[in-house]
Amino acid sequence: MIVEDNDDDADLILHALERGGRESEIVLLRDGTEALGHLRAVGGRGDAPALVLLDLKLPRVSGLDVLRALRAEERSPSAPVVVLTTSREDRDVAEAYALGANGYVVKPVEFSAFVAAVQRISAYWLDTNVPPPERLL
Amino acid sequence: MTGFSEHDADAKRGNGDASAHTSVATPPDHLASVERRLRALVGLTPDAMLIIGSDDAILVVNDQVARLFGHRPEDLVGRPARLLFAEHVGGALSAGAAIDAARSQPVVLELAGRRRDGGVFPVDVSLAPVDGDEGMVAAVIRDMTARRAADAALQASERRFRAFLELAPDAVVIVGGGGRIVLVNAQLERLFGYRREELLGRPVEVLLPERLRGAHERHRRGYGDEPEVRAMGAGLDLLGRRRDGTEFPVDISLSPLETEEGSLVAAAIRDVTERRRAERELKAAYRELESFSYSVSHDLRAPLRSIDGFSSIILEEHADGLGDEGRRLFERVRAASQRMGELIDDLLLLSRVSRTEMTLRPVDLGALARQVAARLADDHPSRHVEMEIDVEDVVPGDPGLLRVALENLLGNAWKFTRGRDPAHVTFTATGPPGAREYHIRDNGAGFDMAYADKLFGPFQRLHGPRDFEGNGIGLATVQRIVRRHGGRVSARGAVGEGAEFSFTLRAVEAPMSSNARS
Repeated sequence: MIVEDNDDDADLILHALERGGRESEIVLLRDGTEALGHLRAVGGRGDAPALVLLDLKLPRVSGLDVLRALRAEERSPSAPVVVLTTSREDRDVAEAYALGANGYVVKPVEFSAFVAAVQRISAYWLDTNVPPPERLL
Repeated sequence: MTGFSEHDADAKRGNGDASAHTSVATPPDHLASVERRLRALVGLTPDAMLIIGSDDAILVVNDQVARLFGHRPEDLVGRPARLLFAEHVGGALSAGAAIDAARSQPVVLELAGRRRDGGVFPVDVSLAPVDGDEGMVAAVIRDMTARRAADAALQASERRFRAFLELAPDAVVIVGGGGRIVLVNAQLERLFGYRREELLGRPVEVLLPERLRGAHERHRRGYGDEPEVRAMGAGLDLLGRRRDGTEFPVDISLSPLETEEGSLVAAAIRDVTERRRAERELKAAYRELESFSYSVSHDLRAPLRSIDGFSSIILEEHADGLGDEGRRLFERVRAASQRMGELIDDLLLLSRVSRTEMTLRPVDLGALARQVAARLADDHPSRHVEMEIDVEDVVPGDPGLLRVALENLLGNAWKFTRGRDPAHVTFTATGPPGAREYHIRDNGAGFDMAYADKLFGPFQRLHGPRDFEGNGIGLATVQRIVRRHGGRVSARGAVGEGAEFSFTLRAVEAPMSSNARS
């Protein structure tokens, strides 16, 4: 699930994910209210996104508010949320982690770095974040 | 015989001998011993003493008369007493009239004494009739020269003091016992809107808003116990109250004054309304700058990413339709947007360096430099640079800012030694404790000293981008950081022979060595 209001950035993220060649359902939401609505709907089905890429600078409801509401309302399993934003202000980083973000990535200006970052994030959370086989539990 | 000389008309007439013997029959023994003691006493006194006869002639003088008036005692005996005095302008009585009056009652007055050489000097004279000797007057004369000079000097000094007070740009109030106002200057009258007559004698708290008076009185008593020169309430918001009831912010500094009348306290009061306003405006300007920088970081970078991103996508996925020239042009678009991104980052860093509140902590410069060097080595694995770090100083500073400064300086050293093998960079310190200077030297491309003064200006570059990348912000950032630490930065170099950048930090205290080095 991608929460991003900037059209260009949204396209670039989609492009980066496609390059990764992963088969996943991608949902793109443009503002915080939409995002929360979607998460609630999905949560109602007992489901959660495999990964949320969350921009902070959103209209109406800020990304941090979305994160706060998400963590407050969700039941397990909790969705991994990686903040993907232009802001490198210390206070945003601190608050994002305090609110329960799993990662914080500053959008690189350089495109190749940007692609690499998105791919690293999705590789970690979508490919490796798999529950261990039952025998080892 | 010491002590005094006597006139004896008989003795003079009799044997022409002007010595101090009398021809009176030797007094009985107990009288003789009394006389001895009296002589000893009279000889001791610092004042001149005379006995004057009914004919105004000097009968007896003590030795001090000689000291004071310059006559030999034997020359005075028998002469008129008037000769010791000059006309005293402004005196109530002349010497003669005073002596006359003293035949019936004691007289004390100021007169002008006259020395043998004609010199005139102020004297205090006490005259009294001599019991039992009709018409005889005893006189004690004290030289008041020194005392008058001291008085005059004191008065002159006081006049100067008051003149100075009136001139002072600050309002001054002097407070005496019980907190009562003893003196104010014109500025204080103007500042508070009172005439000084309205303030003298009143408690100093009248200058404060009513609600603050109780606390001030308590503090004032406390100050009296341990008076010292100080700025009062530094950092606090003190308020003064004008005659018309309006209040205004003030800064006050206090000094104790010791005078003959007792301990006083002088307070200089300054209206800081303007300064507080300027401080508020400055803070507001900083907040505006901060929010501006914040929005810059969001708004400026996003389009850059789009430029770079879509150019890359075009290059990757539509290369065939582009042709070589087209591809090259898009590469240049990408390169330009990357440069702009770095520029924005550096500018934001520069502005943050100015804005951020510094937190001072002990910073181990050597350890910090080693960390920065390790990071440089990691980021540039293909390069081999010989780094020599020989600094053990631990100094008070902001760790984050000093790291940025070293990153810039060491990073530059790395960058400009790119063509060298071996590349050599050193970080050393010179100077005595309290005046340390730190140097980063490299054996790289160097620079032309003729342009040295341009080095630290933002956007100033002495090498074209073809030779070395960079946008010229780094050294401006270093300078700002060093300045915020109270230090200065300088550079030396020669083309092709490397460069040395030096900086000092505030010499507040001597650096503490983290390890003793033998």
